[in-house]
Amino acid sequence: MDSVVRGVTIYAILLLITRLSGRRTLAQSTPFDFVLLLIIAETTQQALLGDDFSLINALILILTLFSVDILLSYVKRNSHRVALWLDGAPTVLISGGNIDERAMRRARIGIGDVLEAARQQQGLKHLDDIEAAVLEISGGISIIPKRGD
Amino acid sequence: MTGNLRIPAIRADGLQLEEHRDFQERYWRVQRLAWLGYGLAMTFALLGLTGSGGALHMQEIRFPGAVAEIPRVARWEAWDEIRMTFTGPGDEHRLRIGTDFFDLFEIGRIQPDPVESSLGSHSHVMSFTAEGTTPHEVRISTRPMHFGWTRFELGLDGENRSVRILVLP
Repeated sequence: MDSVVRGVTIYAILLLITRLSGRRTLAQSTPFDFVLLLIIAETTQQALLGDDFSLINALILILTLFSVDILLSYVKRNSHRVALWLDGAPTVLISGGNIDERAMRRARIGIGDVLEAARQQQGLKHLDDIEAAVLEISGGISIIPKRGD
Repeated sequence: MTGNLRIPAIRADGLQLEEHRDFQERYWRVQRLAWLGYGLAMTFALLGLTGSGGALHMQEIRFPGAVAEIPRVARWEAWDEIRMTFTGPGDEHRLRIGTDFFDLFEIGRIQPDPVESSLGSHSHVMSFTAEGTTPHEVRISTRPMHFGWTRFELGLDGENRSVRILVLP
C-alpha cells in the first residue's frame, strides 16, 4: 500500500510544482537546468523508495506512475477543463507582427528568446520577419514567418 | 469525420488555436500566489518548522532540576535527537517515556546506556547513574516510523510533562 501512496503523492506533487513553476523553465533550458533536473530526480527517488530497495517496490512504483499517467490522459481526453488546468493552453506572444507585451511578461519570455527560436527554426534575422510567435504547451516557442511578397 | 474531437477555430490573425486568455490570466495569478507559497515554505523550513534544524525546530521542556530538548517537528523516517540535561543533584536520574511515543517513534542509540530499563504503567522507565558535577546529559536518537501528531508523557526524575510532536510525511 505504501508504494502506491508514495507513487501517487509524488506524481501529484511533481505535476503541481512543474505546472505552477511555469513553462519558461522548459522553453529556455540551460546546462544548469539539466543539472537541476538530475538533482530533482535524485531527491524524488529517495522520497519514492524510502528504505525499501526491493525489486517488488520498484515494480509497484513504476506501475503506479504509469497507471496514474494513463488514467490522467483519459480524464484529460474527456474533460476539456481538466486538460486546461493540467496542461495549460498555448500563449500567443506575437500576433500579426504585433508583440503582446503583457503575455510576454506574464510568461517570462524575452524578445531574445523569441529571436533565438526564430533563428533556429526559420533562419530569420529580424523581429520584423515574424508574423506570429506562440509559446506552446510543451514549453517551446513556435515561429511563423511573414510571407514574402 | 472528427467525432468528438475538439477542433480549434481559426482566429482573426489566422492562427488555429484556442488560447483561453481568460483562463491564462487566472492561471498566471494563481502561479504568482504559488510562488509566494514557495517562499513561505522556504521561510518555514529555515525557521525549523519543517524539522531538521532551525531556530524553532526544538522545543524546550523545563522540569525542576532538568531540561528536555525535543523536536517540535520531526520528519518521517529521518533520525532526530532528544536531549535531556539534568542539573539537579543526585547519583541517579530517571527518565519515563509514555508508550504513545513508541506508536510513532523507534529509538536508536541511547547515550549513555541506561543501567536499568523497566516497563511502567503505560510507560518505559530508564535509570541512569550519575557522578561528579552537574549537568548530566542523556541523548537519545529517534526516528519516526509513521507520520501524524503524537502526544505523550515525559517524566524526568519524577516530574511529568505532556509533550506534542508533529511528524511530517
